[in-house]
Amino acid sequence: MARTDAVNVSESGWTGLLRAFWVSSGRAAVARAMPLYFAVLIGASVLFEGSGVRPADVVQATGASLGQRLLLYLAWTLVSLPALRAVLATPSSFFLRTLPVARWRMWTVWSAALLLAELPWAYLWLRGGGLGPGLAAVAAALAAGTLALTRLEQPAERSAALALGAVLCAPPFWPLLLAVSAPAAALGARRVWLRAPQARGSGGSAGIAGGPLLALAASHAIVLWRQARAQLSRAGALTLLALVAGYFGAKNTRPASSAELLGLCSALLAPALILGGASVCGPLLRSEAQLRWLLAVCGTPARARRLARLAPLALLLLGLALLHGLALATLLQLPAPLTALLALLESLAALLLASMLIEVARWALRGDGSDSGRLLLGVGGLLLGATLSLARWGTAALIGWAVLVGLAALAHRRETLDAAPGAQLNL
Amino acid sequence: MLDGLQLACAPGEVYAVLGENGAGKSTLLRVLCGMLEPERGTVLIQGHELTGGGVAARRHLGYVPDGTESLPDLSLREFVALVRSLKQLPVDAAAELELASRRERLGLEQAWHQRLATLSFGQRKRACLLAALLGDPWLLILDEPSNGLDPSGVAKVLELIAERQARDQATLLATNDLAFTRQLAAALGSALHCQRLRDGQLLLESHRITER
Repeated sequence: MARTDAVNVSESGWTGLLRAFWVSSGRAAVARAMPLYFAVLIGASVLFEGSGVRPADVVQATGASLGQRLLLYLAWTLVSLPALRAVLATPSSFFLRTLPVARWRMWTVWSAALLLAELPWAYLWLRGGGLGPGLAAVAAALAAGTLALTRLEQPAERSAALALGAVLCAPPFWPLLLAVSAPAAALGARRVWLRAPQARGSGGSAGIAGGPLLALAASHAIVLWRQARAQLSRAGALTLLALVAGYFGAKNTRPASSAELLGLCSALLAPALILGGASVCGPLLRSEAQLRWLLAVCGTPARARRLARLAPLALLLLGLALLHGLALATLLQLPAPLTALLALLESLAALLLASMLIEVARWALRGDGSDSGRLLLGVGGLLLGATLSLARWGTAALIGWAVLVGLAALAHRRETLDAAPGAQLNL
Repeated sequence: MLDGLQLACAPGEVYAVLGENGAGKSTLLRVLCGMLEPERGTVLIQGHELTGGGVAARRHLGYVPDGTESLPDLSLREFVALVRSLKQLPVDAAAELELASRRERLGLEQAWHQRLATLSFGQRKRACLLAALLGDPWLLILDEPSNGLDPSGVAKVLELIAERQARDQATLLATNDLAFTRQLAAALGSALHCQRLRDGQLLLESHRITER
């Protein structure tokens, strides 16, 4: 009797299910999606309000150019990925599967949440292309996102991704896109949802070799790749937004000189690198903290630890800056010498920002890392300082940054081996 | 607070530090393996000073922590490669052969490509043991070695300690598992030295182990 009551109560309780979903997956999805969607909103308002572009123009442009179509789909997939992952695979929501709730009810809630995550994309395509193309574009974006989350481990997922890619590359024909995307999205979402609680068993055979510095840096990079995919894709999405902002910024303001153009592009890239890099610093420092006992026992020098923790972040920001610089130069059709200079200056800025970011994060996350105010203060300060200095002095500000990084390196005292409070002994 | 402790481990000796929870066993081991710096005093391994970040002393040392939750998100294979690199151990055919043999003995063949986070507590403990034995260190420090291990795992640890003792290598362990200590005493005889850590002091314990 009691069991029947429990089933009835749970199965009829849409409100309970929605509330349970909200406190587990929903909040996580909103927390991960908001910064990116907010950035999209700012970018969209610049694009549509500032430049007079209409959603229909964007849809038409993607229809005419394969490159623009793929770039737009790629950018949106990256932007929406953290939200989709949070909806389908937040660990705190796994308990919902044990409840006596009909699977169709669960899927109704999950599907609605997935559609909500696609709302900005749906708005663009429904406004710009109408109902049919809009539905097809939403299904295609959902399919791309969920299939990416499956990591294409099974043949069915690879086939679906292949079919989706082929249809996206073909001349636009929305009924075909919808026919391919809808089942692919359903397959992807189902597979991600079912597979989410499984521990990722295979660790692969990524190369950890060489001396302590190289091996430690490789270990941090592997852990980062496995534990911080959402943060990494966020950094990528922010860089894409910086690219869009740089392109339209340069088109609209028409800088008078090369120096002004370089300053503008760098000033727009710096916030993306700082915000993207800051979200990666937490997992990076956690990875180091997990290894602290091993590093102490092996006597790994402080210098090697410092460089090893910096290397993955520096490489990430360097890669993003290079991509940004080269893509922006291509879009703006800059001459080769200016392209090289832009890529060089943005790469230098990325390396200096990585050095400053890791120091700020170490200061902010000191102790148990629960003091979020310090992180906000540190990253906010860096963001403000870097952007204002670039806006005021252009790329000459990098000299000041380099001086700061040099001073920080000089100020580094020799790191003592892990001495916990109250653990000093008299032998 | 631990104060005025003196502990000397000769070749082929096995030291068991016993004590209740919170007696300071793990803290003592963390000092002896170089994780914690003592306020006063020194730790010497094979004549090399460990305190102050000494690297030479650490080359002769292997350490297995009690808690295995603080392991990176790496596969066992990657973890072993990392420890090898950090210890700057040579990777040659002989070392590979030795590693393969130990891996098999510790029952870690299946877990070789699995991530540490997906292994059971006992498997992670064995993984830490495998990593600590890399380079065949002169001193092996084990914190609660029987904790979380099944009977076959405990038997393997006992076997390894006995083999090390026969090769004149030293082992230092901390435990509050009397059954394990008795098994160790039965396997090693007079080579086992037991001391109880109480109120920051080490007290001789050997006769009490054999009496019970």
